Amino acid sequence: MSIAAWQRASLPMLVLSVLAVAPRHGYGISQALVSAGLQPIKGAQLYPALVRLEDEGAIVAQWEQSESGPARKVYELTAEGHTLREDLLEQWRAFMTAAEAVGRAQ
Amino acid sequence: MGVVAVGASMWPVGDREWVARYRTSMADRNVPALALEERERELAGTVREMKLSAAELFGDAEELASEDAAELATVEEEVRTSLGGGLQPALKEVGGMLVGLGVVASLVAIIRSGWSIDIDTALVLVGASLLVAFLGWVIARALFSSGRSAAAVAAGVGAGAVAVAGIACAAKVGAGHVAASDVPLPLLVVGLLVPGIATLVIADRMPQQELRENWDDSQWLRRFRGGLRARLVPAVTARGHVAEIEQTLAAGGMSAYSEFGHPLILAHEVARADRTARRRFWAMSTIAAVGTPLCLAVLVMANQSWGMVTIPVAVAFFLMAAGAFLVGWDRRPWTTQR
Repeated sequence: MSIAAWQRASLPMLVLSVLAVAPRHGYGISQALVSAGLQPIKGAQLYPALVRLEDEGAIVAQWEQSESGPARKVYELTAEGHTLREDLLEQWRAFMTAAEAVGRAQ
Repeated sequence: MGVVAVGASMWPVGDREWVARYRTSMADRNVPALALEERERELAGTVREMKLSAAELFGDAEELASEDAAELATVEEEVRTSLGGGLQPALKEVGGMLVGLGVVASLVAIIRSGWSIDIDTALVLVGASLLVAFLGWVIARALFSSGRSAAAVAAGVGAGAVAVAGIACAAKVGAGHVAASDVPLPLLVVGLLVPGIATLVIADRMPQQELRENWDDSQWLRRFRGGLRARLVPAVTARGHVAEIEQTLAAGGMSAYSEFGHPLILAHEVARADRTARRRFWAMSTIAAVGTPLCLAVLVMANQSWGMVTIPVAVAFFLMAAGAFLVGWDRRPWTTQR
């Protein structure tokens, strides 16, 4: 499994973690992931993930007028989003612990 | 142990029935042919290696197919094979409709006449008008599903106008004008069925179509918006999605296709994630699935068009409507998990 595939599988958790730091627009989320050392994520993957998270109530979006250009849609984490992020991180840690244990046993 | 060739893989003869059920269950589940072939090769390989039957190894074929379809189905395949995904699905729809109408017309002719029939001019005009209306409906739906709303409206209005003109012409001609007399019924039945069957054969033999890859951004955005509206995303929400993508494209300087892929694939994914669109889509499809056979049942009863079998035919349509209602209720979006 490639790193890109791992990223796709864990995209909701990554997006929520980026937004837990500060509200961002879609392209800003993508840039934040790249800055953290991850591979660039195409809009084709990121955008549906954002719509799903918004539909689930984990994030909310609002249009903000930027100083230099057109209005931008900015996403922000909700209380539900914080809870979901914690759940996902917990599951991720449990998975990593188990995977490392399997690795050590080999 | 004997083996039977299945595509690129080899299945033991004893598993033939299991494989057939697996394949039937996988049909129309939006799994790409290559992925399905690879999965079958994997399953057949395991069967040969373990020297056990497929049923013993994998359990129920339908259950495994459901699990595999959930994993292997892609939105790209869904778009490619759905009405609006290109010429092939549209031809299949047209062929199916022509066969359906041909069968109905043949049965009515068989029930109402003997071995030969006089073909009334007005009846031909009415039949042709109805055919144009049905074809227009399919073409308009295909265009609407592909995100071309204006073309869909034009096709619908055009077909409607031709159909109305045809019926008006039939009314003017009136009954009693025979276009052809003593036409042998078998010949008529063949004439009614051949166009639909030929269309289905042509569609089946067409090479697998690929989704378009060359888009300029304005075309892409128009089709994306049209695709969202076709999946019943509210207009305001659709405009918001388009504006956000425009904003992303302006910020990143990339092309819409390179960043977001095919507009209809993204539109389907976004619509699937939208609660309002999901509910609207469910309501519309359930109303259509229940309403169509109900309307047909009422028409059959009102016209007594099936002679002695009018009541059984109407009951069959009522049962179809009831079945569609139960299926729709079972899939209601407020209780179904995405």
